[in-house]
Amino acid sequence: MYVLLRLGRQLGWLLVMPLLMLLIIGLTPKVQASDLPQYDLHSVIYQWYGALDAKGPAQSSSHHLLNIGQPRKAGSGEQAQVEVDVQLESQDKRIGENPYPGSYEEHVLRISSDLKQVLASQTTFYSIDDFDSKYRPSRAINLIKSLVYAWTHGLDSYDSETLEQLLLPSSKFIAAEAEVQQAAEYAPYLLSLNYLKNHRSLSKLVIEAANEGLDNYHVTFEYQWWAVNQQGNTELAQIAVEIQVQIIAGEALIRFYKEVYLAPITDAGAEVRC
Amino acid sequence: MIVKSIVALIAGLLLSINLMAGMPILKGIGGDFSLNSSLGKQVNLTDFRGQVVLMFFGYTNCADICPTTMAHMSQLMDRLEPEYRSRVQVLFVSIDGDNDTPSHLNKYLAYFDPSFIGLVDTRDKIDAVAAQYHAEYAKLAQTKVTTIYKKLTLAGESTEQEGYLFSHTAKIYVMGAQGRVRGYFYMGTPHAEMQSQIKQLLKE
Repeated sequence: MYVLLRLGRQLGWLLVMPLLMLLIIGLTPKVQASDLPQYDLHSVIYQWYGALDAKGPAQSSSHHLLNIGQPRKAGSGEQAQVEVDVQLESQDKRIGENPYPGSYEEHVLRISSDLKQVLASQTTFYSIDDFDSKYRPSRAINLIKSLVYAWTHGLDSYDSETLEQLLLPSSKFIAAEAEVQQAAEYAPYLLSLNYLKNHRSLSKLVIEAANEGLDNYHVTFEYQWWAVNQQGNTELAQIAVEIQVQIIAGEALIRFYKEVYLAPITDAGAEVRC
Repeated sequence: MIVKSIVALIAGLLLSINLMAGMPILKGIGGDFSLNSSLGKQVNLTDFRGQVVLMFFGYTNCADICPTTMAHMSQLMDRLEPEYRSRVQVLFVSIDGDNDTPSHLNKYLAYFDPSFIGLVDTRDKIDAVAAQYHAEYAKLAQTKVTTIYKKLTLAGESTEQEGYLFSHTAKIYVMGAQGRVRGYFYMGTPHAEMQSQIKQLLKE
């Protein structure tokens, strides 16, 4: 480093800075695991609140998640559980009153080490709103978000079992890859690509009621799929996904799945049109 | 002196970041094709394996983006050292098969760089390639346009005739030596960045 600084003064920073940057980047981990969204963790949290929303007479409570904190280890050893802070807006429907004040809450959730189950919840902060709001149900949104996050994690981890559990037996499935004809082939196909690293980022999630009485929903979102292949090259794809979801017995399940490739956006300037 | 050093530091930093950011392989876009060309024969994308291909969808009657982008690529070719220049191929895919013939494309592209190859074919074949590359385009309503190329095309015809416009993507598709799409340039991409990325692709 001292040598580079001396060189910088003598030869000019324009020449030396690229070397300095290469050195710094070489010493820095490329992507911190904690920087990437943990979709399995988010799935179990949304499922927890979706299940709470479904409890009680006429689903009269709602939990709108505002933020999920970074998970931390609770305990030691291999079976160490995970703790995570959640901030949310909660409402309890009051008969004859609408609007009325909801509450802002902070919870600490304790989650099993395999991130499959919320074991305990503790309210660490509770504050009644100083404004009134209309009751907004959240059950379907929480359950569907849980489904989408679980599906995303299932794809990233090539978990056939999870993917199949999230599909209704009669579901229709259309993958972006021509090689994949049915859902059961998807995870094995992704695994066969032999990527060294692989991660999807979710964006543009839109949930619309298709038939609220039947608990059917139309959901769209996009994936930016990033992977490193065996040659060390980065591969990038943009995928638009359209699904139809049915909520059955407190669980959101896919009854139609379709994805298509989009052109990835790598430079906003190149998106101009003539 | 201090200001100079800071400017140099920032410039060096930007240059170094730019040099390190390689172009990813883009999935779900691109693929091989075969089209008639300004060379008077069919051209396949596979003909250019081992080369970097810069491909643009446009039309010769275009008054703005197409000639500007072709000029930008012509300047790029002039800046490239001969050993790299010989391994870069520019392809201009005409979205206006009704008016652009292979010979007209040849004349148009020679104005920018004689090595550029024009591709034009039936509407179905062009549409199929445009779909492969997600290169959206649409013919707009008849609009009066006047460009030097329009005048050339209509030589001898009434100058009162109405022209037309296409709305189309302005991307320059960058294909690596294996024929896979690696990203996009556009007329605003600095030549230094284009040169750096092309050299990096040719070294793979």
